[in-house]
Amino acid sequence: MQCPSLDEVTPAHLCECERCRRHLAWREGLREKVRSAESEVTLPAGFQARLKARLERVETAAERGRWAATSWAGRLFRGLGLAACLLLACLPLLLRSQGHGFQLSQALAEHHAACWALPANSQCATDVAHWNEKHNGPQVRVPLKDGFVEKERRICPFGEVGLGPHLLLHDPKGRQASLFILPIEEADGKVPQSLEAYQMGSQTVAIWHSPKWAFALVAAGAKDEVTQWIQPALGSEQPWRILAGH
Amino acid sequence: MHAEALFRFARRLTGQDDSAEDLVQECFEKALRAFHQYKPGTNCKSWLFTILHNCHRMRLRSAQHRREVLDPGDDPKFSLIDHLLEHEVSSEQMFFDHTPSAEVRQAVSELSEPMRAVVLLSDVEGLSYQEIAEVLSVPLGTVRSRLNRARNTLSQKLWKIFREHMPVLAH
Repeated sequence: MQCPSLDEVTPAHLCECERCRRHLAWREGLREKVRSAESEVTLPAGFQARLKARLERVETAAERGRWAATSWAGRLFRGLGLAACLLLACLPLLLRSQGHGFQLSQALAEHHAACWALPANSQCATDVAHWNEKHNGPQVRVPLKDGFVEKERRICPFGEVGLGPHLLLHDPKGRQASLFILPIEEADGKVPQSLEAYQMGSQTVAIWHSPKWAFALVAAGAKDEVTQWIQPALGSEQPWRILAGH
Repeated sequence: MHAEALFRFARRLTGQDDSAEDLVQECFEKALRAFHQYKPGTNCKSWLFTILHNCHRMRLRSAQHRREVLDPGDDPKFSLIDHLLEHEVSSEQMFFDHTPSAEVRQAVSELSEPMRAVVLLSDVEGLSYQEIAEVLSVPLGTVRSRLNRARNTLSQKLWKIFREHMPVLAH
């Protein structure tokens, strides 16, 4: 007798076929056995309290985000951030023209300042993971040694232009810095071939690219100092790691 | 709250209490942040399992640590019923009565992760095939085939255990 699969077996067939009856009984028995064997679970001591504490931290962070959205000071910060974001949204267009390095650097420096002023928004971590997956980007955490220290990663809310992550870093002297990363295909392949650095007040914006990625580092300090930090990253496919090591 | 069920599943995925707890916390944190994406009226438990499994998958990916889908050494044509009939074991209940729970847990833990996941979601957590497919982001047919393979593998492992515990009947 040709037996159907157990998921499709009919009562009529079961009446006739002892093998299928036993097979079904076995399957049900197995389910029950696995259920009873696996159901015994004891949550570790303090599990609920630790979970509650973590969720409260998330809610507190969200509250701060709401504050930024509703209070006048928050709105000011947010306005600054959005203005800088709009400027940065032009990044791919600006990257198409080698003559616009200065404007680009200005936009990046403003965005850097505005983004550091905004409350921490770790929600972006989800987007970074998604971005990594989409672009097959670096999957490992930046191995932070002496030198640059990563504080936070963000995908800024104007992400529709296809920007990569914005890494908020502390430079080797503990000052605020930013690293912007952009897939080279989205920069239309027209990023400056060699490193370009622009002094913006007390800061320097350095722009360069590798075969696959375009980068911009905004850091406090003179041109020479900042460009020295990124020398090992030039031409590398893994500048996150190299930068972090210096 | 589905914390216990999630922890149970996480522990069986990771094999460690600490990792499981961390995974569950991450799951709830993401759920809290993405709560606006939850559709009222849909299965909340299944939604949480989806988040948990995605977190786990991301961790595996970042660790570049994925186990093989197939368990080596399995005989795909193995039929426990044939063995029971051949060895004149008259009742499946007797078979299960003489198979200790600890050994069943061990057998489940030895399944490859994709198979272990479908068994746990189906048999322990009671999710439908469709819900499991959504949790694991795989087609419905894959859920069925993984479940079949998993049960077949479990049958083989449990048959060996049964033979050890009931040598007179089973040899």
